[in-house]
Amino acid sequence: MTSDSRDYRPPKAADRFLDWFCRDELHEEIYGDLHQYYRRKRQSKGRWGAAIAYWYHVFQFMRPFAFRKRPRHSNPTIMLNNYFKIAIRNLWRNKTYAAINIFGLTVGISSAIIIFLYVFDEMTFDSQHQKKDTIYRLTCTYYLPNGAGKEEMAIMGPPLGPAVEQDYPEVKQTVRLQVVGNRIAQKSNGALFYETVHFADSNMLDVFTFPLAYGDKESALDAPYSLVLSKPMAIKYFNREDVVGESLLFPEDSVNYTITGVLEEIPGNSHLQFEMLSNFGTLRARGRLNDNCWWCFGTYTYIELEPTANPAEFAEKVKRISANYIADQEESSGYYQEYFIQPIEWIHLNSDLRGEISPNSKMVYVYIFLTVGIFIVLIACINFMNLSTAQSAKRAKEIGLRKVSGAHKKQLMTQFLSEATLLVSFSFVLSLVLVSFGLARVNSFTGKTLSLDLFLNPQILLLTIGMVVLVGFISGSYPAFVLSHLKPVQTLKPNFKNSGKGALLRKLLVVFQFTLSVCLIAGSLVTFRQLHYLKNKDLGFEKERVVFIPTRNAHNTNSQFGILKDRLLQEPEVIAASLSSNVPGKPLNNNVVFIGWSDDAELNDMRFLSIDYDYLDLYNLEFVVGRGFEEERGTDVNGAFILNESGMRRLGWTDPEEALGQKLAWQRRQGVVVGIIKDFHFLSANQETQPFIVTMNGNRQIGYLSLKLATDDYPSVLQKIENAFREVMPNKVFEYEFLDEDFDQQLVAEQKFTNLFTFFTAVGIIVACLGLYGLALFTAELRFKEIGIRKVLGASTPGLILMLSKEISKLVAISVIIALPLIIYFGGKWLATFPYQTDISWWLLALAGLLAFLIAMLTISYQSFKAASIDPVKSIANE
Amino acid sequence: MKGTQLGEFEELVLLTVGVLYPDAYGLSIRDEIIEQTGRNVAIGAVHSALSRLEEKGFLKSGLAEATHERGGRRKRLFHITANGKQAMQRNRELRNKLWSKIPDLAWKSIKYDVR
Repeated sequence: MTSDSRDYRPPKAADRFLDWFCRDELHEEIYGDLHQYYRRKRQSKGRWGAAIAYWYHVFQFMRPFAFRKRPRHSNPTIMLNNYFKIAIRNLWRNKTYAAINIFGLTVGISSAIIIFLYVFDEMTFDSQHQKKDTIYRLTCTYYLPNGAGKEEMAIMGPPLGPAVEQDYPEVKQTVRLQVVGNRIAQKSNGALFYETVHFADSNMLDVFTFPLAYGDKESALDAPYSLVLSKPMAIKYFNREDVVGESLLFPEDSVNYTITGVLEEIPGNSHLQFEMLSNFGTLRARGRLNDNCWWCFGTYTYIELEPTANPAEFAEKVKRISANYIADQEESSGYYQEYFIQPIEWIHLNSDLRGEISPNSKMVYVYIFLTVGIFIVLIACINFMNLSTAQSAKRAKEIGLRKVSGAHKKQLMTQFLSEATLLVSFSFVLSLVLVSFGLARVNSFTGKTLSLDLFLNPQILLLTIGMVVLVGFISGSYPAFVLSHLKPVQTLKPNFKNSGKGALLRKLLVVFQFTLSVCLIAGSLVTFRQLHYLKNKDLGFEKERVVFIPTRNAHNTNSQFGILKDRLLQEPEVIAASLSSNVPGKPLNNNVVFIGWSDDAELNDMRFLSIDYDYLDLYNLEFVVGRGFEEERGTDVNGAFILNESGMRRLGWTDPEEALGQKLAWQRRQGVVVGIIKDFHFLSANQETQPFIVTMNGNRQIGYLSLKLATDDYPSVLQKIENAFREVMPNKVFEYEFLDEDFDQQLVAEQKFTNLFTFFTAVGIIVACLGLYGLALFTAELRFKEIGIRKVLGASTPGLILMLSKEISKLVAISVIIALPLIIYFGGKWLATFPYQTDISWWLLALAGLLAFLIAMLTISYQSFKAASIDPVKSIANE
Repeated sequence: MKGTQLGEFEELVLLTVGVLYPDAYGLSIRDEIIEQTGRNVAIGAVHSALSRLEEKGFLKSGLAEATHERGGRRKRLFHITANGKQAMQRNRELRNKLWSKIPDLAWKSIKYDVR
């Protein structure tokens, strides 16, 4: 008999399955029938047949009558109402804690929203184009002869576009774009303005999505001298928006451009930004286009690939396209070109080439801000967790009573989770209000056009709601878990104190929270110090009290600016004046340098700076050896060159003495090296010094007039300068810039980053401190009686403060120790992205630790002091 | 109490409980139904109907002794209550009444399909 029964045991898994879904009280009869049935089948159908039949019948039991019933002791909506009521009452009763929680969460979420908007904006650059997936930008890298180096350019020669379109069937069309600044346009009332005009192939508006408010996008750029304006431009010149058919005079061309379209506003997150757009052929018509020059870098080339094309394959093919056209030139000169493609959406965060059309950002900034945002939200969540578990003792009675009246763990968890979600949702709404007020400031600060309208997008909205629920869940999960597991018998005893259960976790959370805070503090110290370092780095020249006037490369102004220079030198406030191709902070151009005077001399490619006799003195540049240009010699104009140290090394000399007197040829001038100047930061303290050659202006077009001033009384000096300018050039626009201000613009991106980082660090720390304050408050409450007794027994107030602070200071100390290696690692990584960097020295780490510690102590000291100085009679009497 | 209507399958189960008295339990009822009607019925379906009928008050049940063939588990034996009998009778009378009211003509007008 027993062996018989063992043989006929039905499939265990099926039984387990039935156990899972079926009500316990039905098991007896159901299993009875099923087993009896199985036994019969087993005898007739064998093992497998019986098993299958058994499974079939088990599944057939999946009917409503058999399902486990959710415990329904109450109507869920009534309970939800009750949870809501209790939540509100609790918040009301513990106003301090509630305020800390709501404030912390609101600040945290607001920061997260702003960071999200910022990151979203950065990540969606150039996504407005309908053809964005098939638009690429070509870039050109050219290599110097003999492996002397390379230049990576965003710009290239004008013939490339047509060549690519002709050679590769996978290229649907190409768009070339040139940017020409300093064009003078004349309003009908005679006023003159400098404008930047973009010249683009006629299919520009077809490939890219830049909608027109007025005009026909198909034909707007078809003809030379057509012009598409932005709305602000239309208003600037015509005082209204719909100006299609009007014409605008560019006096230097003596031509009227016909307005063929007015642009809708271009989204802020487009790397292409323009106010005036004209047809590419206009350049040819003005004689400003070298259609066959592969070395005339100045044209941006965008391509639209066929949807079926494989970009990787195309990139491989296009790489050496120049070999098909200018192999002979590459052969004879030793220079050669390679071409690459960049997806258009990729450019903003990843491309940093020479001649970028607009300054790009870096992926690393996006990551850093994302991290900071997550940190702040985590800190706010931890506050909530800590404060709610800490308060669990207060609510223990409620929980006990609920349990006694039949509440299940799950119900209690639901209650606390919904309480958390309620609080988070409330904070979220507050955050939206806060952000909507603060966003304008953020925009003016970051130069972006962020907008909350983004949240009207259903996908984003859904995501956000998801995030709110998630944050609610994270912050509510632990308290929900702890509180729902309290034992009712214990909680209902008269002197129930929450055991040390949550205390360890609370400590861990505080440590985690303060580790994040210390990281933020140290991070902002590191960025701050790096910025300070860059700003105050010895640039190698004097930038104070220098004003410069751009000549705007206008025709035949050399002599007029020469006159102006002489005229201004008569003013006592002007110590020195100099005419040059560039001033520090303005990128230099390239040209070929021959090492020797013979026809077959080796050549190199370098940036150049052309100056007059006064430049080196005015900027106080230091010499390693040799001399500057000297007028008395008379031969320096064409026969003398100066190199900077990097330039000297670029040309192959290591010893400055050796370089002195070497023969060079540059732009049909044959001369010798007469001096070597020390390397200085011509562009920015944030860029490596470039090798360059210094030549005399000669008959070259000059770019700037620099003036060194003797006084700080700028308004009166500037007035004098302007008067002199108007005297000499009455029909030109007077402009000036202070060199130091202009130069510091180079660091504006770093400055903004540092400011934002510091701001969010402050936010993070404030939120963390709020939490700490709450905890201190709680500890003091918990030890209310203990403190009273200690006082009666003779403890001093300072001693008590120390006792109360000890716990938290220990935790903060641990956090500092944990945070240090993190800071050293990640801070070092960030600093490594700069060519010139400070280090993370020990005092910086110590300062960060000390700051965190001090902030923590300040936060808790008030509570500790209040608790320690209370009258013991009050605390003990109260039983 | 929910409606006292009897569904077709419920009536079948109720009748079978009566037929099998005093040994009417889930599996025996299912076997009987299969034998009488030839339709394949899942054990779960019978249990479901039994639980509904008991809820409506047409059946009462009690646990019997355990047997080895049931893996040591007890049967739940069902018997019809007074309410159940009433409901069955109502159904039967209703049916008879309707039967008797069908005019002969209705029967005669039926076209039997020979094939």
